[in-house]
Order: sequence, then structure tokens, then C-alpha cells
Amino acid sequence: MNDILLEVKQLKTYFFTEDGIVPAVDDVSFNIHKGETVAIVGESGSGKSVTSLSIMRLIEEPGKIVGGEINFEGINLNKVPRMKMREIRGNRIAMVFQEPLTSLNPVFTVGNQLAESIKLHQKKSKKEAREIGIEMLRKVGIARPDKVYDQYPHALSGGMRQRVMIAMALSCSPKLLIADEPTTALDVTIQAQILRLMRDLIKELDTSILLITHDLGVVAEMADTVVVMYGGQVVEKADVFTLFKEPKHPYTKGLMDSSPKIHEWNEELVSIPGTVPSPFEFPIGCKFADRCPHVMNKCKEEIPSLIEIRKGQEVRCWLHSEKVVDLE
Amino acid sequence: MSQLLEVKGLKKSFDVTRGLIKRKKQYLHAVNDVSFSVQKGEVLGIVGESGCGKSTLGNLIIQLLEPTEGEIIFDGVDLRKLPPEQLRKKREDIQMVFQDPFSSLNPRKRVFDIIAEPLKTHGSYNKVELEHEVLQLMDVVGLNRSYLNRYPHEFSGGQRQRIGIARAIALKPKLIICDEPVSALDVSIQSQILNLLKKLQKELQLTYIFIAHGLPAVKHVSDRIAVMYLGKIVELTTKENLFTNPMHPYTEGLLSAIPIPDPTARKDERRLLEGDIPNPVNPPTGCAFHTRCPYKTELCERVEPEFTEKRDGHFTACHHPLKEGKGIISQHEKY
Repeated sequence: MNDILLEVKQLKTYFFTEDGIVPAVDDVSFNIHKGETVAIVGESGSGKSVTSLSIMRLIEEPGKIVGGEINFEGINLNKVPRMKMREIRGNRIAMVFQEPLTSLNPVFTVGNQLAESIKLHQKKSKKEAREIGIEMLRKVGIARPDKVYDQYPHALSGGMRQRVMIAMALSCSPKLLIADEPTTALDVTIQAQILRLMRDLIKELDTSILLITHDLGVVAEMADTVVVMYGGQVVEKADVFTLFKEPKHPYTKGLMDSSPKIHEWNEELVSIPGTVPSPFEFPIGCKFADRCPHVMNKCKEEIPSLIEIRKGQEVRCWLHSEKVVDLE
Repeated sequence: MSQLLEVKGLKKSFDVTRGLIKRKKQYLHAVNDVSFSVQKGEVLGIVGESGCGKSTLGNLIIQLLEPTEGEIIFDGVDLRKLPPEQLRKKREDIQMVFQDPFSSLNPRKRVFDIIAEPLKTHGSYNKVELEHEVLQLMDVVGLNRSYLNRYPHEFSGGQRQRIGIARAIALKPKLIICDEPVSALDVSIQSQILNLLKKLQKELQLTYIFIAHGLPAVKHVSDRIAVMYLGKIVELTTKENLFTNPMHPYTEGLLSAIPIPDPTARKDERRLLEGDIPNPVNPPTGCAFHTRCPYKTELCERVEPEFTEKRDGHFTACHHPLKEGKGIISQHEKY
């Protein structure tokens, strides 16, 4: 677990729009170790998806990575030439998207799309690619994989499509799988199946996962380490047990209190007041200042920095600018 | 409590016959023989996964769709037997909050026009009264009065949903159908809207039918919950019963599939439902759930179970209902 697979260091991705510059990802740093599952949690506009797209170098105009390093297996992806990136993308790092219907091409068969990356990255013949492809479909729990291989995406259910996407992503045994809201579009019983499948497969293939989600239930189920993002910044970072036991940032706490607790009775849900401001309306100081129940004058003036308050837990908040003393 | 709505044997089928030569008609039974009642002041939650017919059911009750069969008795009269003019009058009393706050508000109308529209259609207000009424509604749902002349695109999802709610309660309806009102919203906003809906329900003594695909949202607002699967209600009981003593294996599966936001409660060995939801055009024989049910017997494949009251106020359609205590909340936990 000590080997770092991916190191994201002070990543900055800005969007240069007509209305002004949007710092969608602003100074984000985290590591992913071999075999580890790291979850990025945040609501819309938190920058979680832009972070993952930056790692894949899939940021398009008017967006641009303006600073920082993305070190993957010792290479800074931010500096890698385009052609070299194509060798890494889909091969060493693969991605599963939220919407399984729009991320599969409707005019090609499942097999056609599945074999594409196998042929390209593993230099296999069409026949070999078919065998590997069918084997992958079997691995992701699709019954009659040889039949599904020749079917078109529209003939499959949402859960099946997401299984195909996972088969496709894992077909080249990537070291890192980026899953951007992989189960959000699925029904809850299917979601549970897909999560279990992902957990089993990564154990088998020794793949690390970067999981992007807004659902704390999914985080608790899957993650080893959690990165909480708000307004393009990391506001808290901790291992999953510490985070759920002792969330320190008011936003993390608010997020936890506002998710419905299905396994206990509670009358009133606690909610975070207000909404995420538009990118141009964030406060000057702490980005959460407008919605924070503990806001102080200092918060409105100065951005707090991310401070390690104890081993393995970092918080960006003026309430926690000193180390806590563990009483254990 | 008196009864506000009773639905009896409601059916809706869609003709899904394809091809030029229509030799054999094919029907999708979206809602297939559904019966239940709603008391005044009650919140009935309806849950089920995609394709179970929950939204069609909502649309049938509010008369956006014409039922194929069955009765919808609202406030003592069968809506299907009312002449159009009286039905129009009656519809004042049933309003709807939609899922997508982006497509359910007319982008070319101002907040004032959107909220005032039902008041103009059904009421007789002069200009001053109308503005007064709209401003009051905005206060009630927590919208700043200064937004009166803004357009929907200037608002976030949560605020738009507040506009939609203001429009729905404008005529002080007896019944509000909420069709997935929070599923398009961010987590921190969902709880705001759920709390608002609950507060309004208490203060204005509203009756809701609350439709959602997930139990978490439904649990928070409902008094009783109906679980639907492939066009039928498979279980209907109080919220407490459903979470502590579910009787239908599908309910058990739904409950155990919900990821719990507590990493210490990670259960790798928990039983998950296998397989996909069957094609509703060609549903399985017998009990429609038998293809995914871990407890199925030969009887289930053959005979469709009847929807009956198994315990006091606890209805289910299952040949082998579960024993008590199969829920995810222990019976001893204080409600």
C-alpha cells in the first residue's frame, strides 16, 4: 500500500470563459496508492469531474490545466506528448462514465467497441480480441457473453450497459480505473450489483480506483480514502473510517447530516442552508463561508490552507488551524 | 381520518405493437390492477425501480393519462365519470410537483407568471390581490420576494423546485402528487426540499402521494409506503413496518441494496438481488418477481399471489411472506 501510483500535486484547471476565468479545480493535491480506492465526494460544481478529466487529459477548450503535476507511475502526465498520452489512456488508466447509454456508440456492436481498445493497445488480431472480449464480458457477470458480444447497445438494459463499460475499461488491465458516478443512473438493486462487481474485480486485477461520487453511502461502501471537494478545492481529506467518525470540516459534517439515514429513525433532516454559488460568486475567503454555521470574520477575508490536523486527516478550515491531540 | 382518495383495480396498458403487419397486438401493462386508498392528511410513499409504473400511476390519478380500467374515487366522486367541466373544477384540488425543475417551468415566463398561472385560471383575483397572493406563496416556500420578476434560468435546481412547489400549493389543493421531487437535486439541497415539503404538509394539512425510486427520500416524508414491481403493488404498510418487518422479498432486497453511509456497517455477505428487471411487455408467469426471488418455489412460477392483508394493515402479494424482523432497522430501536 505504500507505493504511490498516482500523485496529483497542486493541480489547477481553469476555464477561460467569456464571462471570466473559472477556477474549476484550484490547487488540488492527493495520492492514490497501489490497490487503493480513493473517493472524491462533492456536489455539482465542486470540481470533482474536472479533476478526473484533467488526469485523463480530456479537458477541452475553453478549459486548460494551468498548473500542477499529475505524476502517474513516475511520468508527469501534464507534460506527456499527445501521442504518448493516447497509449496511456484506455490502457494504463481507464475510465467508466456515469451515463452508460451515451458513452456507448449506438451504431457499433458491443464487441466492436470492446475489441477496439484490445486490438489497439494489446496488438491482438480480431479473433484473439473477440476471445478476450467475450472472456471480459463473462467476468463482469453477463450471461451468454458470446451473444451479447454481437448485440447493439440499445438491446441492453442500463445495468448490462454499465457492465459492458466496466468490461471495456478493464479489458487492458489498467493500473488505475477512474469511475465517474458509475452507478448514479442505475436502479438501487442494480447499483448494489455493480458496486460489488467493481470491488471483486479490482481485488482480482489489483487495480486502483478513483471514484467520483456525490453519494456518501457509496463512499462508505467502497472507499479507503476520501477527498471532499467544495468550490474547486479540497476541504477535507482522510481515511474513510476517520472521516465518517470525526468529520472536521463544517461542509463534510453538513453533507453527512443531510443525507437521509436509512438505517435509523430521524424526524428532521439537517440541511446546509443556501446553495452552491455560481463560479463567479464565491466568497473571497473560505469558499464555504456563506453557508457555514460557524463562520467568523476571518473566514470571509482569507482562504484557510489545508492543514494536517492529525496523521492522515487534513482540513481546510479556520476552526481547525492547529493540530488536534489524540487522546488515545 | 377520512378517506380522500380510493383507487380500485386501476389498469393502464400501452399498445406497443411494432411492425407493419400487426398480426398480434402487444401491450405493456404499466399499471396492472392497483388498488389502495389515501386518508386525509396522510403521506403515501410509492417506491419502485424504473419501469415499475409508479409515474404512470401518478399521471393516471391526476388525469394526465386515461386509465384503461378501474376507478379513481377522489373526495367521494369517481373522476372518470365526471363530465369535462366538472372534472376541470375538481382538478383544482389535485396538483403535481414534477421531477425535473429544469423542464417543468416555462423558460419564457417570470416567477410571478408561473406561480400566478393557476390562480388566474381557477380563481378571480384582481391585480393587487394576485401579487399579494404570489408574494405570500414565495414567503411560504422560502423564495426571496425580490426574485418576483426573474426568469427560471436564473435559479438553481433547488430554487426552481421551490417555484414548482409554490405553484402546486397556490390553489390550496387537497392532494399533491410529488413525482420524484428531489431526485434531480444535490444532496444538501434534497434535504432542504424534503424538509420544506414536510413542513408544508403539516402546516397546511396537505395530503401527498410521494413517488420516488429510492427508499431514503420516501422514508423521510411518508406515513405509509407502497412498493411497486412491474406494474403492481407488492407490499403496502406503515413506514415503521416496512423498515422493521418487511414481508415481500423484493422489499427486503430493496432495503439491503441501499448503501449505508457508515463504513463500519460494510456488509460483504449481505444478500443482493440477482438479475435485471424483466421486460414489462412480457412479464414472467405466476409471481412477476419469481425470476429474482431467493425464496421462490414451484408455486410462485405458476400461480400469481393475491394482494391481501396478512397482518393488521400490512398488505402484500406473496406466497411466502417473510418472518418478522427482516428489515434493516431493529424492532427494538425507538421510533
